[in-house]
Amino acid sequence: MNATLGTAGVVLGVTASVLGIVTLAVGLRQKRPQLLQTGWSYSLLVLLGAVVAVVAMQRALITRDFSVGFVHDNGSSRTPPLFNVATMWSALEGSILLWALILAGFTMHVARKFRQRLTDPLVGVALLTMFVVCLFFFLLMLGPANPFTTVSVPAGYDGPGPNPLLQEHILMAIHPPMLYLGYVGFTVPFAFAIAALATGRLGEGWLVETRRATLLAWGFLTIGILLGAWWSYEVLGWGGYWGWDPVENASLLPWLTGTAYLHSVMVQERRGMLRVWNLSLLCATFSLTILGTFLTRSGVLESVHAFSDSDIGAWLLSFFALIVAVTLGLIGWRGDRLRSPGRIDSPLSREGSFLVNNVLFAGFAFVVLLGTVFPLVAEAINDRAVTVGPPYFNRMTVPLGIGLLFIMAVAPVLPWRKASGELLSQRLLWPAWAAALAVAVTVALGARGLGTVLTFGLGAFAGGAAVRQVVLATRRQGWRGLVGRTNGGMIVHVGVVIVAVAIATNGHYLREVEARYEPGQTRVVGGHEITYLRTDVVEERNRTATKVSVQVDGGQVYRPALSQYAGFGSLIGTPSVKTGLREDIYLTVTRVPDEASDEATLRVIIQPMALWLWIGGGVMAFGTLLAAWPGRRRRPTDPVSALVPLDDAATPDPRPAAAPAPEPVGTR
Amino acid sequence: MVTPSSNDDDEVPDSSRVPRAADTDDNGGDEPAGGPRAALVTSAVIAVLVALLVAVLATRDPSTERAIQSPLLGRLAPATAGTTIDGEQVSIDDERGRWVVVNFFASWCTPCRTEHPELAAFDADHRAQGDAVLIGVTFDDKVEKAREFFAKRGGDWPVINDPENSIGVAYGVAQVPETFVIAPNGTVVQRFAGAVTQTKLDDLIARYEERTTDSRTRS
Amino acid sequence: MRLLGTPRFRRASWLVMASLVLVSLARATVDDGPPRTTEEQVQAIASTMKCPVCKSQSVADSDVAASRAIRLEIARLVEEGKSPDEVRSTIAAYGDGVQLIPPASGFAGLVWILPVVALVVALAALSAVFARWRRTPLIAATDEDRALVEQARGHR
Repeated sequence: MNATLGTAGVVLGVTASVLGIVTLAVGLRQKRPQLLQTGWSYSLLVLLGAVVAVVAMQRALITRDFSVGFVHDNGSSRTPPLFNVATMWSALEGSILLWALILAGFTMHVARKFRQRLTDPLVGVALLTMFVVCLFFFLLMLGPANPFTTVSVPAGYDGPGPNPLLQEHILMAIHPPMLYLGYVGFTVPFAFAIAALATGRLGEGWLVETRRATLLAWGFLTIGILLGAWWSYEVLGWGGYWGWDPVENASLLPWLTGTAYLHSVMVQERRGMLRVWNLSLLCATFSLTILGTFLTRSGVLESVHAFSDSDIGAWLLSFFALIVAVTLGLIGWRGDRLRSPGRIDSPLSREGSFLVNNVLFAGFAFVVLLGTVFPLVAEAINDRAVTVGPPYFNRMTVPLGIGLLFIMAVAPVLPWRKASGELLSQRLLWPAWAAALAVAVTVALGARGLGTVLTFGLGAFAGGAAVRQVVLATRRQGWRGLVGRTNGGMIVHVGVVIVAVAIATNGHYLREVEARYEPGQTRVVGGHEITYLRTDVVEERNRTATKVSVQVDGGQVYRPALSQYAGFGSLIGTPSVKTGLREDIYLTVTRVPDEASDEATLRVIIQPMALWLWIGGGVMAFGTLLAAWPGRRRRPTDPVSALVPLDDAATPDPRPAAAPAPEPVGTR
Repeated sequence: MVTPSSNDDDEVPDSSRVPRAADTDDNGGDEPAGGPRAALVTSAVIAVLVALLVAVLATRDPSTERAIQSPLLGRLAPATAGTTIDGEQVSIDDERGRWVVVNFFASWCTPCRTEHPELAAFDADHRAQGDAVLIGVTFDDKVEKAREFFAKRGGDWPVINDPENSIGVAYGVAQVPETFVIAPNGTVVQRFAGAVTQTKLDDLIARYEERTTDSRTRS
Repeated sequence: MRLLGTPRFRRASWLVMASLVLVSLARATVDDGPPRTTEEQVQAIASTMKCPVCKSQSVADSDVAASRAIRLEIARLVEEGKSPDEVRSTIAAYGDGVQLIPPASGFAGLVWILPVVALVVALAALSAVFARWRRTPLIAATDEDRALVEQARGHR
């Protein structure tokens, strides 16, 4: 019953998407506004289909209906309730279902937000693009990633439950939805970019309309990535938060191009420039989410994310190829119309710094993508095994990161159009003092390593510039000086600086000691006393955990464990972390005592500033909310660039050979 | 030109600035040098690169199916010597001139248990013929457990006790069981990852012998 | 307090800051920590090798038997006095795929060269574009502009 209901929902989604695509296409081609109006209804139907499917899946999970294939493979009566709900996105098919739900929701949001303007071809093409993406994801669920297959259930069957690593902590239940909100959120500006290119109406209105959606999508993606890093740190137990794992890189790539886009779009709004960059960055962001999903789900690259292989890879790769072909084709075709009416006057200007910013981020994304796919290319061409690991990525991205910190300091104080050195000297004086003092003091206190100290200095520089901006704004506008795009953005920059400093400190000063401990033995590691007390075996609902009690500095007792989950063969290690403002003491047990010996092997890692990674992330999220804060009430939003009348039989060709009517730049 | 005095991007941009007509040609805006043709060329280049990438990605096998060839193949076998679980000294150098099958195992490993009777049969056969020798090496195992393993399941070929797994590292053992077949001249001929059967070992030896006799008769 | 706003103060500030930063950076780079203990050296080398069994973890981070055995071997070689590169080439039986740092020569060298090439191209393009903008005049009245003005004046 659940399977049928779910499949019905998926079929409804597919049908509504197809009908939406066909109707909108016909309406656009034949210029029939009443057909375009139906876009709203179809978006509702697609959402209904998604909701029905999700409800069916949740019902199956909660009632432990093992006749549904997905629940059979991933559900269990032993899973705690919250993790049971989250089981839906713990494996491939269910996570595609989650993606489809979020996508349907965004499609409906677009239809609702623009419901007064559904007859505008720009909105029509955008909605059509979203329906195409919806169709793809719903088709995946009818094809390679079907969550609603039916299986026959032997009597007394109990499923294995989701991967134990996903049951360790509640925040894991939130990580995939956050990531998907980010990925899917970028579909909205992408759809409008396609629409702008297709209709030839490349004015800036659509950018402004989708600005808040883009910002929030970016915010969710940032949170999703940070949650993934946090999970890697607190749950996986290898002692790090970022391993340049292909799946991690897959989520970072769209974030990099998305961040570049968020900044560069300001130049387009303000002066109508960098259009090609913005369209390329936006299309690259969306394409990279699909490519990233391919790399994650197809199994061509080894990863800690233990997804099972399926032939979804071929579908995702084809869709990726299609998107790239369409966007390159459109940009190539519209090349002449993309010329901006103005140009950058001086490299020493806000526009110039954003251009450099774009180049840095593009370079960053290039390096990460190259390193991730290079083993595959090398194998294809040379048939030799090449591994590109963290040392490569660190070596390549640290200089880029330092360059970005520098730009982050200088760009906010640069005025538009042109700046003089004198102006910069004036505005950057106090931030520069902060930087110089940071460098001098930290080196005097013992900081070493060029990259580390540069990060401290440039972090203070960028942080100083950001704080200066906020102080000036609050002096002018009171509390409103804290909200809005610029000021919220400055808070986000402060968060980034905190994260950068935490990464640099942690990377340079991390100390790890693995040793055997007899019961009651104390060792001193990094200035802390680590005492092994005893080992207990604890039977929990879904696992047998061998917990080792370790006392730190004669105070609190921490219990890292090695657990055997029912239904999973190998032992899973769980770390225990003493979190502190200055440093974390990270404990894992690698060998538990057994009949042969009562020694336990403990690994102790002193992780400086680890907590500040998450604090910085929180500041970034907070800053994003501030940046999305609605501004002062202004005049209502103007139509999305020049409206081309549909029902006028003598409509002039919207693609004239020479454009006689230049579009106003930056009109709201 | 008026420079906006404020840096606040939330302010309404100054729409009174007169835009340039879009068809003037001499100072092309911010698009790549050379105008629209450059955009087309860049798009084409990117298209080609992406097409190559897609081609590579489409033709990869899943990583789980990728077989890793041992770099030891065709080279002299690493030093394999030590004290057995029964306390004797053994070394593969003493066995030069005979086939040597080096089997890495552990008492807790299930496929090792599966392959044990096959190895026992292989050992019995070839011990009688005198042309091949089976030597076991412990990997991530305790010597008492290894003794128990053999006591329970039989078999009396020499088993080197390797508590630090240094012989395993020398052979590149990732996971037990792994079996290496070494020719009479001391070179490593084959690496088996996973449980082996007597047939596989015999076939390999037979094939290799055939090839060497062929080349000998030919020359 | 008026002194603080003058250009002379600012220039002096920048000079002082620059010297402070340069001296500190020099000290930070040259003085980069005492020679490492065996433990730290093993850690450093192990973090450049991939665990042969795990998915995407280094030998330093993983706890499986193969990784522990490799770490022991590294320790032995380090105590013999071998350099990190020598250690890595001695532990050869796991293949090249276990080296996390791609070699700088051969096909794999591309992964090092391509980013540098991209950087050079980017810098060259940026400077070419900036130079071109600086050369051409900021705003110039075109014939079309003049025609528009004539038209407007004529209409009056």
